[in-house]
Amino acid sequence: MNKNLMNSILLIVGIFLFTIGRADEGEQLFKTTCAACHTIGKGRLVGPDLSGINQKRSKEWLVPFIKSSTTVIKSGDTDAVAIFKEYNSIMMPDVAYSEAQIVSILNYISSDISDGAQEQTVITDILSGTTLENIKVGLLLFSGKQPFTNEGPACVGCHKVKDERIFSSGTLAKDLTESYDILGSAGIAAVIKSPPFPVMTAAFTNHDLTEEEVINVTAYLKNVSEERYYQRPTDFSTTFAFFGLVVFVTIFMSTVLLYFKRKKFPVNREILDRPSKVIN
Amino acid sequence: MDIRSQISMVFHLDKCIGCHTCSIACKNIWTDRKGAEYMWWNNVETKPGTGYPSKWEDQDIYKGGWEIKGKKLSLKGAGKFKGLKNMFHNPNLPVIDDYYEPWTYQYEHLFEAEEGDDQPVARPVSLITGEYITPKSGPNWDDDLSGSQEYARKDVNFKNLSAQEQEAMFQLERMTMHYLPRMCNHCLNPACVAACPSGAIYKRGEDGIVLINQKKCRAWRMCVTACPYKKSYYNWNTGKSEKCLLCYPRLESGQIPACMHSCVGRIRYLGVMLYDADKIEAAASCPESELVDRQLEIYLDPFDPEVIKAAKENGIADSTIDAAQKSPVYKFVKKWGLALPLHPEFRTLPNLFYVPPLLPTMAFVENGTYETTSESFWGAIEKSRLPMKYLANLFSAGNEKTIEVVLKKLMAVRLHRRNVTVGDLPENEVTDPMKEVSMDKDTADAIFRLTSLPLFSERFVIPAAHREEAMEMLESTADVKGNHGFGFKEPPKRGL
Repeated sequence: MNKNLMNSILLIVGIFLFTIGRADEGEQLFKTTCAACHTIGKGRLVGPDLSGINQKRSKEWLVPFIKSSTTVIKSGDTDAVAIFKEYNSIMMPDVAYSEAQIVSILNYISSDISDGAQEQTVITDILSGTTLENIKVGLLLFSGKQPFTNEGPACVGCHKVKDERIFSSGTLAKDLTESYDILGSAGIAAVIKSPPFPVMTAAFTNHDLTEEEVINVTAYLKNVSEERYYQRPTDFSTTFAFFGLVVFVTIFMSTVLLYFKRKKFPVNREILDRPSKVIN
Repeated sequence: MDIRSQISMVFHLDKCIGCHTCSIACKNIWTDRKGAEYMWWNNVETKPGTGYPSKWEDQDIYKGGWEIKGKKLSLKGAGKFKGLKNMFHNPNLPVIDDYYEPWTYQYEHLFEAEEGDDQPVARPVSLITGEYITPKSGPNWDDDLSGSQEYARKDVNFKNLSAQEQEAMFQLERMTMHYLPRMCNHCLNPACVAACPSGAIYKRGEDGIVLINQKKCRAWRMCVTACPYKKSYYNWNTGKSEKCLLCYPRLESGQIPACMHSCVGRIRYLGVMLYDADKIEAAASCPESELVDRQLEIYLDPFDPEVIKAAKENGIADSTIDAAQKSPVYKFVKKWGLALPLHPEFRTLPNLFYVPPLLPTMAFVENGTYETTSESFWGAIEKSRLPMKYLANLFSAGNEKTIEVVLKKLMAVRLHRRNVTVGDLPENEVTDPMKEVSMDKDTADAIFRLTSLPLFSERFVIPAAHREEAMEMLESTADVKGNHGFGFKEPPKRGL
């Protein structure tokens, strides 16, 4: 009897803790992955506001879409295509979560409605109060001239911007010239803080940017966006190709010249080259 | 005065029979290895001929040795700037066919061939590719004037001879030749040492032997280009260059080099010479006509008390000075002035000296008859079968006077000995030539003895290597005194 009671209590507590745990997991996943572009009841960011999404869409539609929106869009789903077009054709990155984890996120979203309604926090622009100094530091951080405190890789390694002050940049990831127009300062900050893109996530794991650095880089990207019509960065790609060709031709020609200068044949060549009378 | 000792050699060309025993002795000891098959650290050439590697004397092709640029001595094919410029393509190297493609014969076929109508043969097989080849050249391909139209005609030493003189040499009755055994000259001013970018080549302090450190060699092959005698060879298997080491392991244990020990004609002499290292640069950069005389000035009289004192101050052992006094090389080169360096115009100051061959005209064809009578017993030196100019190109940088004196001395010795043993010559025919080269009877007898009847110990005077002292320079031998001997390879068993 006593034992049964104990078992029941343990089971109840267990289920309770499990549920809480699941809810917690959903919250954590949402904050690290989704919050960069989505809010719950705080208006649209990069992607749509997700409050009430569970009522609007079925779970059967949501789960595959969250898992890989590109697949759903490519399959020709009309709703998916419409949303994609509405939000400036920005792809939502695929996530490597299990179905249970996605469901936990959705559960968190539906549980959060009330919270969002209660708090009614005013979103303040993180760039308010930034000066030219922030932009300057942001440029240094972006171009890698000043390293990040936690030794994260410099932005310029993968991203390109239209800016005369940046000499050359990587082409692995997106061009960030118009990032501010698309994402806004909150979006940019959110992406930097918890990148939803697999490569970027891997690059910045254990190398988080400090709050100040986030603000500086965001300020710089805003500046880039504003200044982009006045920027005429020199395109070095053809120059590089041309110089490469010149160097190649020079080396090739000198090799050829050196080869002609070299003693290539035996001094008795005309004797050795005579046809042999012996049949091998 | 910076006196050092140098092991030098004299080859008496009149005695060389061209048997190549020296080359084989060397090959069997040192170059019978993979990658070294084509090397002949010692080889015997026929002159006139192009030699091995073909036309090695033509420095317009191979750019070996030194040249005077302005007033300074500089390497013809290497050196600081030129060396750096040519380092990665090394334009003047001989190709393998300039030496020859080494081969062996498929001897097993003689035993393993299936029974058939024909006698089985051992076909030649390349030692480089392993495929059947037809040998088209070899290290002594033009031996005994074979193929003289192809080879002897192209001898570089004909350069200053008129067409008429050259033509005369190839007339059947006048045709002549002599052998020229060659090996590393262990020069006083070695171009190979100067050219090496890795600093792998060095001239040993105690006896002047030039060696290549196989651990330091980085296969730049600048020494192959730089050596005007082409006596540095590249081993394609080990990726290192190799050269004659004057059998130094044998010398250090009191034996003589294999090529000299095996010499059938006993043409080779070896001994120590003391020289003044301070004079090397001046001697190597003097005008071509003085080269031989200036080089011979470097070598010093080992009996001169001042020289002995300076030598001792420089750490030269008494045994070495004693060996220098007994040195047959000193007698041939300095005392009697009979031996000359090969191609001194390369300016490396070689330490291998040659007694030039005496090839007197024994007869000539006159009015269709073979005429053997002449005014004197042997025809005049000037009428030697080899033009004086040709020998001068070989041994005295074109200075005919030097060669003439040597040949006259050799002739005087012969006339004197003829007079002693047969006594059929008129008095003045013997005394006049001797007077001309101011040679007395004792000297002539001494030259005769060392040329014809030398003992083994007279031909080769090797100084003690004093390896015990060399050991003490490397480690203190007293350190291990009273220690436990060599120890045990297996621990000793104890108890019963």
